[in-house]
Amino acid sequence: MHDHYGLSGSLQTGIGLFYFLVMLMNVGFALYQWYDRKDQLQTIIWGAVSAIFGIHAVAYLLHFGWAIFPWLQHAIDYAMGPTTYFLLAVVGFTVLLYFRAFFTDPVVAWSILMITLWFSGLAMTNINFKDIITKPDNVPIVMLIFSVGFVTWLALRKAVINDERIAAGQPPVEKEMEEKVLVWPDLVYTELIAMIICTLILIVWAIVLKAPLEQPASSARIPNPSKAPWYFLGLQEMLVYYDPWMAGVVLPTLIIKGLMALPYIDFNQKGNGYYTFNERKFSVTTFLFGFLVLWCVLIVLGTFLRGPNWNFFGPFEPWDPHKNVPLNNVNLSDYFWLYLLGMSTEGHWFLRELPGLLFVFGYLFVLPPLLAKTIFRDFFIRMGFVRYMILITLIQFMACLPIKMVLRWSINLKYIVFIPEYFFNI
Amino acid sequence: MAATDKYFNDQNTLDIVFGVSNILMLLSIFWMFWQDYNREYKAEQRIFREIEVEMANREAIKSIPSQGEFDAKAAKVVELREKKKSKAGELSAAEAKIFSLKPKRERAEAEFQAAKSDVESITSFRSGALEEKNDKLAATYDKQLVDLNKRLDDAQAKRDGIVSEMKLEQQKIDAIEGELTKAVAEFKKVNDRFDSQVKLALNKRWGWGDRFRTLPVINGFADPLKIHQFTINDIPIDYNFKQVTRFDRCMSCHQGIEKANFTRANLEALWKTEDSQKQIDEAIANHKKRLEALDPREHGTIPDPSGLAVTAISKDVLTPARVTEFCAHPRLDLFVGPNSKHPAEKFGCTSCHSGQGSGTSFTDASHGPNTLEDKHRWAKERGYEFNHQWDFQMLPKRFIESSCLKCHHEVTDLISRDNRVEAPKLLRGHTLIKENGCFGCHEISGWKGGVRVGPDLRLEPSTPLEHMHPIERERVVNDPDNRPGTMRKVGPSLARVNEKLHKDFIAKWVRSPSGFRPHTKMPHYYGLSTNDKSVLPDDQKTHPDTEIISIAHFLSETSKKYLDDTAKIKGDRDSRRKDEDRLLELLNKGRLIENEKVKEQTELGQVKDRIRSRKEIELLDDVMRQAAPVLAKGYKANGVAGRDLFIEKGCLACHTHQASETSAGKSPAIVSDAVFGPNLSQIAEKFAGNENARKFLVTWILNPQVHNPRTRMPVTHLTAIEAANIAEWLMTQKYNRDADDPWNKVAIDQPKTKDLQELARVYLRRMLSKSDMEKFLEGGFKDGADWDVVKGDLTADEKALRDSVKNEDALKFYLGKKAVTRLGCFACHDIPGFENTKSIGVGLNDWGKKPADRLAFEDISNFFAKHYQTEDPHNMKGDKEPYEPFYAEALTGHHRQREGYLNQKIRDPRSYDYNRIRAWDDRARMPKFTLGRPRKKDGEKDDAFKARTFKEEADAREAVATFVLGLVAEQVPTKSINQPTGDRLAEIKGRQVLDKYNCAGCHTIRPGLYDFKLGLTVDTLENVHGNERSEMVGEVVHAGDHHWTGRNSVGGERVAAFATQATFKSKSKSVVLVLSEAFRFVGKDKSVKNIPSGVEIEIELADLFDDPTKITSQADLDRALQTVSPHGGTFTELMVGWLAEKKPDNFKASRDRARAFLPPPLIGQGERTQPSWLKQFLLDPHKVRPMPILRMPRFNMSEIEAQALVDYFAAVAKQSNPGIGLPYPHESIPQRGELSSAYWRNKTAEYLQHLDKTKSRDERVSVLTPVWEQIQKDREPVLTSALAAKGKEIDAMTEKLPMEKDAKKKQEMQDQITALKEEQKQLEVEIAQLSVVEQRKRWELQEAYAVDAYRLLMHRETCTKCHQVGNALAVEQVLQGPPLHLVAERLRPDWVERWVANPKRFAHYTTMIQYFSHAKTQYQTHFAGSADDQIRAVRDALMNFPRVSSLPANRVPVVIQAVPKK
Repeated sequence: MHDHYGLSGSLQTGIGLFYFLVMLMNVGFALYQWYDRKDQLQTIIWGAVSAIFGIHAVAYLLHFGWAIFPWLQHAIDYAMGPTTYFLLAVVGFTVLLYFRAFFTDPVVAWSILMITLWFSGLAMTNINFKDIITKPDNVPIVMLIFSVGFVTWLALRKAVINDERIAAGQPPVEKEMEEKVLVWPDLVYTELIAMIICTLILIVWAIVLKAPLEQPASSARIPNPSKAPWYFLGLQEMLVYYDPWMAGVVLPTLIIKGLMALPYIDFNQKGNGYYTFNERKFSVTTFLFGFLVLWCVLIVLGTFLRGPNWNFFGPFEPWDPHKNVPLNNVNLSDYFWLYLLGMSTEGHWFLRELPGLLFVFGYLFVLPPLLAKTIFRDFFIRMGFVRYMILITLIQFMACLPIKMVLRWSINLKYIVFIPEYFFNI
Repeated sequence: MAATDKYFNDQNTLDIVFGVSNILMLLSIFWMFWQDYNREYKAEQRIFREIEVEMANREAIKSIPSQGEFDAKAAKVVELREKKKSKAGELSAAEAKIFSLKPKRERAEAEFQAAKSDVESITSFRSGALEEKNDKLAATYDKQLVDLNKRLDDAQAKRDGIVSEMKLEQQKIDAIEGELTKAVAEFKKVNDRFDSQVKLALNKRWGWGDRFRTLPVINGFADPLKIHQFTINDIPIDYNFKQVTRFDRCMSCHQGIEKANFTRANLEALWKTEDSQKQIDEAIANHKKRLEALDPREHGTIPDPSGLAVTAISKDVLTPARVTEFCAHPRLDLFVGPNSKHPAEKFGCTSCHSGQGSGTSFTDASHGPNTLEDKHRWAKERGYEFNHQWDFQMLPKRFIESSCLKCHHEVTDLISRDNRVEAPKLLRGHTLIKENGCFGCHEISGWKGGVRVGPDLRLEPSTPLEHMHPIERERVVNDPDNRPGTMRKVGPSLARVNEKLHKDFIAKWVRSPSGFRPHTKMPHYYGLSTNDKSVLPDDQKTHPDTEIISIAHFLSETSKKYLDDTAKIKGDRDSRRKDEDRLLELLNKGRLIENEKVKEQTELGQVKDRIRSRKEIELLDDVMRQAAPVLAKGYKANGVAGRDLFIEKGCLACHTHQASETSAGKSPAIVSDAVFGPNLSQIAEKFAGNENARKFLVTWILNPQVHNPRTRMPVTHLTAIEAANIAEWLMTQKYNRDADDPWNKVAIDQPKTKDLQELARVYLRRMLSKSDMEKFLEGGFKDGADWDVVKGDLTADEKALRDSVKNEDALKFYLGKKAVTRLGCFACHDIPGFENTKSIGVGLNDWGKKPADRLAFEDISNFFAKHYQTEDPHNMKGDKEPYEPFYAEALTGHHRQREGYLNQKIRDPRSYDYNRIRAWDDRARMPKFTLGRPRKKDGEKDDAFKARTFKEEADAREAVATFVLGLVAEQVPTKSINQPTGDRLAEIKGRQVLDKYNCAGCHTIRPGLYDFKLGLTVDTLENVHGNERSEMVGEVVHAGDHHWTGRNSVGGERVAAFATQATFKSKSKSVVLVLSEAFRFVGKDKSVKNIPSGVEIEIELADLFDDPTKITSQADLDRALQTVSPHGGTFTELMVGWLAEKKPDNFKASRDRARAFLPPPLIGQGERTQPSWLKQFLLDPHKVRPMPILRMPRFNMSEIEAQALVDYFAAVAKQSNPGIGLPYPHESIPQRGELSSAYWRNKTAEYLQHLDKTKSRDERVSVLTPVWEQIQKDREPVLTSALAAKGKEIDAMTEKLPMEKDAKKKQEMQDQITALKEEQKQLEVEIAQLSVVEQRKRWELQEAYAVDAYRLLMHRETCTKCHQVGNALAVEQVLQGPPLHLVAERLRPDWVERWVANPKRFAHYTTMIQYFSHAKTQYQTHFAGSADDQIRAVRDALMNFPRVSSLPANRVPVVIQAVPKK
């Protein structure tokens, strides 16, 4: 729709400056490799990378820059969908955890960061991508991607180092400093500096990206798309799969309650006061899955990839409010009665929804004992009935979302239980 | 690791980080302050300060009094001072006298006061004594008081004497010094102007305090730069759910908006300095010196102008953009100014301009660029971006008038009281929408929840109000939720289309209306971007032609059926009465029971139809009776005469005809631009193929309502022969079509059965399954079980089709009906069966607010790329149509806007379907209109004409868009809405009726308003005034009437003249106006002067226009004056030329004479005619004047509308001519009464006094005596014999009386006798009154005035020369005025008086002359008295004509001849 907007001069200058900064980062990294690590090979590699970014910077600053290849845009847009996006996120998450030792190597992490930055710069040449990324409202999300990425990386790296030490019979790094209390001046001073820098950032942010002068909200004109505040976009994504009472009430409540209950559920004594992965595989994985995949990834999805009418748009796709995506979803009852048995679904709701109800019943009440007997046998024994049941129920509810997603994508399942008579749908 | 004292982090590094972050923090805080200091409005205000100071400096320097002025006033002071000196002796004597009297007065005063207090004291003692009953003591006091009072009196006398002596002396001093004091004051005034300007200029300058307060950081406390904000509660922002207060901060940057001297020119003048600083310094020094030379007592403080410097402001600072930013709002008298109708405090800015009022930056304020160029420039200069945070972007200048609609719901109220069209574009849009009938499909209701929110342009109820039964009408009118609309459908009724057109023609016409008639209003439905054969898929290629043929068939058949049905219903009297009774019954029922049963409603409809049909048939019969002779076989009509009739009888006021544009024989050419009715050039071609066409045409001309009861074409009072002649001419004129005319190429393929079926499937598919559909088309459905299954899904149309589905005609009828329903033909045409069908378009009530993201732009970008090129419309090169960049951007740009959508929707309504897969009946239905109707000018090249057509079309489109964008349906609080009342409302409502019937086609309705500078013109005006004054010496002037005395000008250097004509004079570069109202101006000697109306004045072009070089012809002038020129009278103007050309001899002296033969201007109509007469005349006009070549036609107008017009004329007269105190609606006419009434007796008494004074009473008596004798002689025998007859009758009765037995009958006879006796007595009285003595007595009591007034009226050299009076024919046969016996009913007495006093004042062209003049004493033998008296006598005689003319003395014609000559 907006393709006739070419690469404007100001955009090229902006991208040029961006690549210039990235070049400086690489120069810094190369110098670090040279002076600190004394690693000649790395220095040469990152020097070369700096040069590549330097060329980019010059080209764009001189307004000779190139736009991202249309085929690439189209390929990405084509490949993108809520399914692929989520699957990629899950796969990426799994890979990251599995190959954590590899990924936590600073050079690998740096390489990934550089590839990301290089691609971001290139992608900015697409007007749609640029518009959505640089929207003042979305700045926190961009920051979130990098900050969460960094923090996760940092934690994993420390965990990997500690795990290696533990495996070698050494205590974790943190244990070595156990006797120190670094409050004054270390902590206080650092906090003071952090405070100042934080304030500084806020001031600069406020000056550079001024708050817009908006009009009162109008009941007659609802913005399209209507988005929740960025930190709730993950919740909003759940609305695609669940009824509001479920996605907006039950699940958030359980998230909060679950987080509160965690200290009481946790029976693993290890990992106290130091980073570790191997000693707390289940907890860390579950938490990271919940936070990264089911929360942050969905926030990014909601921010950048959900457009008008809550349709999914590829990162380079224009947000066309008239895009029409079919939602040919089918209820479980229809599957069962109509398609499986060839019977009409008309009749009392209870009978109609019996399969769904049974399914839910089975999921909530039959599955936990089964699991306790099998996979979670160990847990059950160590935790006792009550703690086990709470844990398993929380996990079940957490799993609700991916399960429903998979069902939706694989068999177009709309609702498992569909009782419009009482506004009760699952 | 063990605990150590080492820090975890390197403290040094931390210190550095801490230091750096602190510095950065500090810098960021500075940055923050800097940002605040540089907020856009602050920067602008700082610049404005400079400009303001400079402006004030220049004003101050400008106000240095000129040497001449200064010297004159100074000289006066000197002169008077000299005078004072010369009388120094006198003065000092007086002063000395006063000086010497002063102590005397003081002493006398003291004595007086002493005496007074003594008196008061003793009086109080006396009162005390009396209270204590001590009479003795009181008496003593009384005695004392006598003496004391005397003393008091003496003292008082002495003091008063001295005081008056002093006063006398003081007067002497004042006489000498007073003038001097005045002169000194005058002189001071000259300097004060400069003084105050200097003070102002100094005031504007910033002191160090101001500068300090604006410094960054410090400005956080008391910054002299502030946000200027209006808080507007009266026109809040409407968010549907909430009304939000409006905060307008626009003036924070637009600082000069209210300052009248901040004109663009003044601001631009700041770029350079005309005088060098040295010159200015000299001037100031010079002035200072002049002042210092004077006595300081006389000039007060000397202003200190030192430092008044004039510097040029660089163009970089005061950029052209800033000139726009800072300059004053145009028309401060109407907008923004505190005394204007829209003061900024009350209306703010955004209530009209839209935009984000709270914004204080350029982008935040949501400015709206008027062109794409502006937008790009803004982006470059101000970093402008489209503000998507605000729904109501500022209206681009081109649409600014649309805001007026928010409060001016009547639209016609945008024509101001002095006839200025304040929103020409919006009014044009309004007119175009009314003309093209947009409201037929799109509801433009203007009502929301019973509250008025916009203009109301809804269709009238399907049964028009005036045709409803009163009961029904009352119910409809009083329905608060659904008030009846007033608009008529714009197209002709198709109920009787079969009478005039052939099916084939209808089809061709539907296919290409403008191909047949290039300027037709009928839009194009076919051959458009969605249904042209070239763009249709193969399986739809036959659809358009099939549909067109079906529509033609359907219309023709429906009409046939309608005609047959109507003809059948004639009915006898009984069935009529039965229907009428039943109607009443049903209507009453409907009122009682809300839910009328379907059956009863159907019956109601039928009854109404029968009643209507009968009326129609009666009318038709009547017209046919008239037309029968000329419709007879073998009748030969005269086409040549038809041509002149067509031209003369007013057809050209609404229609045009190509054949009239070239001369034929003795009939000159005439070119009309009228578009109110259709262009008739092609009418012969149109009717070809229908044998009844001539009959139709003749009857239509005779009475159009026969064929279309709601037509706006009037009945023109033509005879059948005349109608036949016109019809003959129309039918024989061939339209010149070029060989490559598109009409010749219009060919419609007759559909085959398969095509018809294919199109039928489009509709059937939606109701039937595929197999059922095929079965249906095969005719497979008969009554039975399978039919019962499907019939529930079908509409009545399909059910009707079932049995004849194999019949092609039936299929066509079915498809035609479907198409008519779908395309909404009934929105403009009455089609039987579609009376209550809902309109098909989107409602436009709040379209102006529709968010752009709710509009389906669809694939317009690609359509645009394929069909248009972004180009200036003047550039017609290239193979694609040009498209204005502004709209291109709004349509396809990054931020699509409703303006862009709307413009394209009007331009090519179907284009949004481009590249879309749509079923045949699912596509955009809006047809393509042609809004502009330009005519090719003589000698205009094809390309130029094409470009002009394109431009005019674009302008028209924009006008319509302006109107539509104004439809925002915002509930503005009532107090802010323009709610005209009284006369103003009547004026506004009346205009709508005037427009509806195109009254302006013939009559000039409003004079033009020309405002100009007095400048050079003042000389010619003085000249005219001088001439006129000498001519007016003999005139009877009516003070307060604007025909003699003009209105005061609004003020300033400009004056305004009202005139009916503006003629360009190339030689003298001037414009000649014919005043329709007296013109007032301030002459060179500063005195107010009036030039009466009817006079020509000449205005220099340079005074009328800023750039007079642009005006080189009458056409230029007309264009330039378009918005202010007189409204209406187009036909009259055309005919003036035509008549002059046709009969050059008659109008040799003045072409304007021809106007007397043509429809009169209606300026001042309200003061002229009596309201009741006017209303009757409008409803059923009779012939008034014998001269005109055409008569006022009878319009298809309701009583309400006629009343609205009457109200209108009165309202206009009351407002524009308040001096005459026009009585309305009730006027009592004192003249109209028995001669024995007080009015006539008083008048007679006055008149006799006058006769006595001139000693001519006896003369009158001597003349009249023979008349009286004659009357006695004539009447007496008649009366006597009657008396005798009565006597005999009484005798006979009396004889019979005793014989009657029946008491009752006896009583009756007795009564009869009494009555007869009474009559007898009456006769005796009458006989007695016949005596000459009695007659004379009566003459002296009440008739003398009337008799002479009548004689004056009947004078063969005055009124009866040109006017017929009763049976007395006028002397003059050619230039004949209206018969005078009609005056009493028709005209207002005051107006008659003023008219007779000087007819030219009212109609400059009139042939009537001014008979009664102050300059001469004349007609004294007929009526003795001054010219004033004579005029009033004529008036009185006219106003009571029936009684005055039937006076016995006036009935004897001998009277007039018998007057002896002096």
